Amino acid sequence: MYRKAIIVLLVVLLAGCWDERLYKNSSVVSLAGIEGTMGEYKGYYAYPKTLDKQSQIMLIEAEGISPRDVRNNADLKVEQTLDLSELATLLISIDTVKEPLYDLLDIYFRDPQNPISIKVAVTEGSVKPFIELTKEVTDNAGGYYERFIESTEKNTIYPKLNLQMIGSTLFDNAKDIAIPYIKMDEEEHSAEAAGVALFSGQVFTGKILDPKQSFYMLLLMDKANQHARIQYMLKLNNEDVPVTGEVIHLKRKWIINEEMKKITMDFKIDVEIEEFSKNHLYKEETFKTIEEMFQQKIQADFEEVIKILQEQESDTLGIGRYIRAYHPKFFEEDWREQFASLTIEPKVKVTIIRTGILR
Amino acid sequence: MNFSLSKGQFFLLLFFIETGIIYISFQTPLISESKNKAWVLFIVATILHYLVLLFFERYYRYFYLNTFFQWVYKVYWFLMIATFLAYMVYVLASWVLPQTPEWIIILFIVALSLYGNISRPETVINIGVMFIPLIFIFIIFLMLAVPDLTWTNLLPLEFNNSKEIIQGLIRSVFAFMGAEMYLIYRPFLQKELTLNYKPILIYQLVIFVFYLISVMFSQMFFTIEEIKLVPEPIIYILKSQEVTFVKRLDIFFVYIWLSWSIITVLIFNLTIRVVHFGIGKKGSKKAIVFYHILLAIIPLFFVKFKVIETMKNSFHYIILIFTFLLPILIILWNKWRGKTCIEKQ
Amino acid sequence: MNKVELMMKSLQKAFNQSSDFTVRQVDWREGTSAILCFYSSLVDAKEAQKLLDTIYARLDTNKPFWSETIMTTLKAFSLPQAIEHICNGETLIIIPDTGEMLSLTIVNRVHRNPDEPNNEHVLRGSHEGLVESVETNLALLRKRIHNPSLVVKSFSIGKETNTKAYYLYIDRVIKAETLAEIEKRIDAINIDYFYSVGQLSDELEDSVWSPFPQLLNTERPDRVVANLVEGKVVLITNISPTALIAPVTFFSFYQSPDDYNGRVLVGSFYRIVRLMSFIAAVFLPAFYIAIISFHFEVLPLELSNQVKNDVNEIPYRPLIEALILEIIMELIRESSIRLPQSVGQTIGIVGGLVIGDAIVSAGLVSNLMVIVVALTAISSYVVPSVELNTSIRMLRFPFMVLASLFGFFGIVIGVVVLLIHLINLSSLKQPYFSPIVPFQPKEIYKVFVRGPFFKPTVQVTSFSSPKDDSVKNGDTP
Repeated sequence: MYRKAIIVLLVVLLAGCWDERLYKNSSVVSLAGIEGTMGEYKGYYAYPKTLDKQSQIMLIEAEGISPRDVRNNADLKVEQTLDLSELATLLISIDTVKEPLYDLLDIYFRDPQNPISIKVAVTEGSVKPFIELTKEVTDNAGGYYERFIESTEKNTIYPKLNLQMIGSTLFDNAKDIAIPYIKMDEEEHSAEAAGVALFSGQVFTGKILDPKQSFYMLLLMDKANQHARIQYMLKLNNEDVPVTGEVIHLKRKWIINEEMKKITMDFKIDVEIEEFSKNHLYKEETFKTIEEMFQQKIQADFEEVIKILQEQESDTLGIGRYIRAYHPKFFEEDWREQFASLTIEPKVKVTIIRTGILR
Repeated sequence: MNFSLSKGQFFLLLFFIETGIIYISFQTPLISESKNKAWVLFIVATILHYLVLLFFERYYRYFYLNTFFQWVYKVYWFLMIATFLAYMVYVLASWVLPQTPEWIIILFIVALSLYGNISRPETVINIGVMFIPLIFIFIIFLMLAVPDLTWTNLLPLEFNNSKEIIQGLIRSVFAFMGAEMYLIYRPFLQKELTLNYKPILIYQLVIFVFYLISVMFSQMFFTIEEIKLVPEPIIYILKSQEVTFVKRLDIFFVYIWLSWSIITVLIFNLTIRVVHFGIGKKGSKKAIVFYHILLAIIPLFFVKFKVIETMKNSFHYIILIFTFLLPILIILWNKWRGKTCIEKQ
Repeated sequence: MNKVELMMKSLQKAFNQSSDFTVRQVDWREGTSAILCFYSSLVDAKEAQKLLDTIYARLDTNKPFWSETIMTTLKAFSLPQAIEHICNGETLIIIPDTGEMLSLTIVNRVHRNPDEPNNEHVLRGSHEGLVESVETNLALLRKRIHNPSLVVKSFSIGKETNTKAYYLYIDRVIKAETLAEIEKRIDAINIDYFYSVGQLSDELEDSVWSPFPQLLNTERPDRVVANLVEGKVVLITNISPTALIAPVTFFSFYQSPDDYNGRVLVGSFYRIVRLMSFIAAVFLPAFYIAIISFHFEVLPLELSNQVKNDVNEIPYRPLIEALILEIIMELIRESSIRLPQSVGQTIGIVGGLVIGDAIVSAGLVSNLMVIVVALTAISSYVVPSVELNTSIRMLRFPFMVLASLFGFFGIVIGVVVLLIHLINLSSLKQPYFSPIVPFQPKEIYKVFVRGPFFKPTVQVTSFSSPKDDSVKNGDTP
């Protein structure tokens, strides 16, 4: 009796149970990329492999008819189990997002093991070079792009996003998404933050905002992050002077005029001067001029960004959500068309509140 | 069954009965039926629940169950627990243990319930205490999601669709399932303790805040189209949060929810035991063991997506009848006849 | 053969001709003789001789109470009583003519100094310890409580060994049901040969098979006194320095006299640290195993890479890996207890440095597992009580097995079973897991915090909630 019990116990202890996934038997993918179109997707998975205590990034390439199929095919090429539960970044080719985005993301939402707090970025052209690039610069492929995107978010170029927020916005017809866009710098052979890709609903509009425009879009969204630097070449006394200001506070107020279909946006921006080599800020006159010039320039840039957004029918600012909540009668089901037809007028008021430690 | 409860224990029991199991999921049907005004409807439902509790407190003496109704309730609770067990297993299987056979998980949970229920009743009554800190942790980590919330999702409030309003109110009863046990445990409260509106109000406020956070968070975190796809919104919110030392909070919280729900199962079974064996009598262990064997078998037939869906779409009516309508009818009937429940000796 | 010689023969026979049994004929009053008998091993011969001289001097004066001094008594002779007296270490003078016996209670007490017990060191406070002698122990306790309400009741354990034992309590503080219960259990003791205090605690415990000790063992008089004033019963025996205290709660094992000798904040901080150590000692290896083999997705990316590198080349499953290390750990512990202190350090170095380092470089065990097991071991030694410490170290094995079978699900199952067991457990029929059961919200903080003044807490006697106002609790959970 005892002997039998001991044998059973041993078998159980040595074999483990149904749901066991031994960590040492899994290939932990931290960076995944996908490209191609429905029916002929191509996926890339980067995972670290340790040889003689030296970890090295391996790249697996697979094709398939659906994102899940791609993953299954990739699993065939790995000696351990392909495991995406430690995924940190997902890269998608710009050509792929011309089709509905959720088709690609569904597997990430449905599978309980996939994290949804990961970063997503759209790449210029194929994703392959972007993933291969990580072999040289890091031993942690996903972590590299995660840090890359996070630091760019801190500089108010990329919006603060993760997979879950993207998914949430895709289901909302009153707001659109702008996904980080990464470009390859051919000469330096490194990735470069190149603005954001505008989406209208599920699909990419084809328009990419450059970093500067994307910065103003984020200011319009009132999403200034740790560093939000405004830089202009100002003409002072017929002289070109570079001036940089850091946004300290930003106050936004939307006034909606339902009859005239007009939205007035009042911005009050408090700025600290970070660069001004002429050093005459204590002069009332210079101070005022700079404030005014900033005001005009920012207003012009705001108008430009809003114009692009309206042209692309991409309401990344979330005006739709605001109108749906506070002016539900004004909100139409086909919000994107209505958004494009609105008159949107930004009004900017800039105040310089600090000048650094110099006057 | 002979035991006495202090106020704290009494409300602790009620808290675990009402919040266990459904806390992570009742938001989905509520919000997808009543849209943006879900949270307002939920507040209304809570006020109604408070009134019902006050009514129960006032007339609990008249809640006398004859043998027929005792069996009705016993069968109702049994089926309730069986389906909830099935639901627990379903959630575990879809979130964390996809390969483990269902019967093993059910067997373990039922075995725990058996162990707890062949012990003294005080064991089941007090075990919840150890899980109070975990529930606080639950709330604290839920608060991490605050920066990701969209506050405009709470609006607009339009009250012109009466179907949505009624559906929303009815689906809110999920949150207060098991309130009839107030009547079962009330006679066990220590004699010299009286409950007036105040302790009930405090209890009601605690449970209200606890629930409202979950309703408002899921409403603000998800868009309405999205929440229709997410059956366990609270766990899903936790899944999307990341803290420095833990990447996947949801895994921990599924298990916290599990232990919390096991307590609820224990308490439900204690209730059946109390009603079956009556006050002052010692129950036979054989009956308890037999009951648990049944409980280990029945849920196996329910662990299917279709059944779980049906349960979600129809249970609120059953709960409405057994938790609120039937007790009120019994109380009124007994009051009219002038018959009172036997008070605790 | 005269009467005296006959008697000496029968005495020799009664004591089985034991060589340390001395029986001699001595001269007595007016030419008669008496028999002097004693165990030479038990009697302090020098003192006995002094006393005998006094008696002799009195003998000739014919005073009526010549025999009475502090240490002598005169009784009618009977053989069984004589045997009992001699066994107790008394010197006996049998006067066959009058049929009387004179007993001299001069016992050569063998015991050591009341040094601080090795297993219960404190930094501040009293450094006295109980010893293997009831009289000394009682003196140590009486020194601390100058009050007649400290009641000492004696009883003997072991039908054959007849060991002396005492139970102590403070009248008016102890609850009647506690006293009745302990007396009932003492009456029920059925031991023939008593030689270890473990026998006594097995007889007195409510559930012998539970891993948790239901009697508090201590060798510190100050800890005994602190428990006496809380209304507990203390049992001490003549053969062991250990005092058994009942009824106790789980949390009293986590309290140390240091808490009260130190300052309020410091005492509370270390009490919380100790309670945290319980969680670490029981769950840490199980938690690690569950993560490594079931839920590694909870690790943040940076950490996960490190862990992956570390565990990648380990040939064994995490459970086996953990068991190897745990067993080594337990071996080191056992061997260092047995060995003399000077060699003990060698074991520490061999075990800790040599095996610890070599086993990692040999690739049998990962670095992280070494850290986890070491941390667990340290946490388990934090408990001030030796018994609970050993129980806790044992408890983590079932948790490790459960974790390796079902991951966190196994741990949840284990936790619920453990909790139900703890809540069911009683010590002298009184709840062991108080103040969790019965739930008293206002008492719970005392588990974590040592209050600013020392007011004895009263143990709850029943599993249902107390009804008096002082412990009535708040409103909502």
